[in-house]
Amino acid sequence: MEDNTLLHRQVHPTWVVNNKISSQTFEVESKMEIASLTFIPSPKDDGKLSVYNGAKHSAKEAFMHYTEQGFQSCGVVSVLVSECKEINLPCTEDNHPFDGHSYIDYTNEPSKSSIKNKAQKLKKKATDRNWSYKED
Amino acid sequence: MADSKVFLAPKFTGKRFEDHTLPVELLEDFTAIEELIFELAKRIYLEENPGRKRVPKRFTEGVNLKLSNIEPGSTIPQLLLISTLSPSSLLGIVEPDSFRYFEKAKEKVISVIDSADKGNNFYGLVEPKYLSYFNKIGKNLKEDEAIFFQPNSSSQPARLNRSSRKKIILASDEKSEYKESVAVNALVPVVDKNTKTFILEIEGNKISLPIDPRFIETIKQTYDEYETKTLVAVKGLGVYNHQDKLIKIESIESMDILDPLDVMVRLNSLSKLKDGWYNNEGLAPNTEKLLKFGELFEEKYDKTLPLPAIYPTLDGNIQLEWSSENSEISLEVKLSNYVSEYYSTKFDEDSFTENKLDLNQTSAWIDLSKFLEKDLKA
Repeated sequence: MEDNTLLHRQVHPTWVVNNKISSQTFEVESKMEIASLTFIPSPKDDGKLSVYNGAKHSAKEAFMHYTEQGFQSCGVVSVLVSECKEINLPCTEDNHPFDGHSYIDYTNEPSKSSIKNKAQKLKKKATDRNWSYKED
Repeated sequence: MADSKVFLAPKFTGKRFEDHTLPVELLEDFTAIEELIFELAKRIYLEENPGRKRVPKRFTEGVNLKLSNIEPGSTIPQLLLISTLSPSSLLGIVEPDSFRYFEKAKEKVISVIDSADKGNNFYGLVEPKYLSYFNKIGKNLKEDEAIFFQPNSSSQPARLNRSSRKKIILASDEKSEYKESVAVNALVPVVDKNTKTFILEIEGNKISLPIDPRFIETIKQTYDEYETKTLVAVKGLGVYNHQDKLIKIESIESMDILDPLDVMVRLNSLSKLKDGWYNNEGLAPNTEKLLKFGELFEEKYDKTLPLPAIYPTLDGNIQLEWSSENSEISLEVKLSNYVSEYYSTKFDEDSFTENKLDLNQTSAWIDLSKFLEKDLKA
């Protein structure tokens, strides 16, 4: 995958606290809040965080594909392949179980701390970019 | 005054009373107790004096239940029965003959409460119309609270709590519904300027209310922010049906817009998760431990710092997160023992720190404040 390819990651509804509002100023800041957990592989991922190859799926297509299988998502956030490489996380397109399926590889991370650190960095990149796709 | 002159010394139990003070909102209960006992005393007098069509002229005139003091060491207000008109006592204590009827009325009230609490039959002890006084008595009791009307009696302590109170009210003339203090978080989906009403939406349940001018700005703002799910915390007096469903809010005491990151609201919401919440993965957090963490947080967290976003983790714990322009911080809290791991990434320095914090210890909360102050600083 090219360095400038976006990798789309689904965000589970419980890992979002949306639209932070300042009640003191009565102004909507619309700041998105998602969990850095979004960028940590789950035990069954075996260290490989599933993403969609942005060159093959738009963020909306990725969302539709994911939720049509019965999985829950409230939107898609994205990071670049280059942003993963910068922090020594390789990205691979394995096209399994579908064309365009890819993963960010955490298998070489030596500790829980380093996974946490890299997830925080990816969250920052993703939230600075804002939602790539958000369900209405 | 001598102990023998104390008419009633109910004991209040529950977290709110641990500091041995009595919240002023409960003072209304004493007015209702007085009204109930006086009305019952009149009834008893008439039953025992069938030749009389009405009670003697000065039967309750000038007689009052007066709050004397709160016994040291517990929340036990002492209520004295005092007559300001009685010529028979220099101290103004109600003369013995009338006192007998007030005593009997009190005993009936205690029997009703005790029977209701123990699940015994109390029908026939008093007429149903007297039971509706309990719509006022104990209406502000919270889930963990009770009033023991005879705290020193092991056989008949007469415990009034939400459960026994509900049984009594449902046996009254107003048996289809009962009133109780209400504290809910709600959305405002509708404001109708024509009818001057608005709707509170509480977990799908919609309740229409007149617009109270005191809260008009709050109502308007919550309505304007309906799409972003802004919640307003409403406290007041609710009317419930016999299935415990809130059907009406009779009066509102306060309306406060909640911070979208309000910790108790968020933890309550997470307590509803079931195992498999994350696409068939993910353990549900333990409800009791979650709510206890909420109490700990409310008590110990430095209120000058920003609130965290709180997320469930797949292993049944929670993670608190703070974000700033320059940092990402997470605190993974193990709910079994509240030992937590703090991770902070600062982007300008490209630094990463981690710390273990035992949140059972006050010192850990102080350390957390220090870390956050340093790491959230621009």
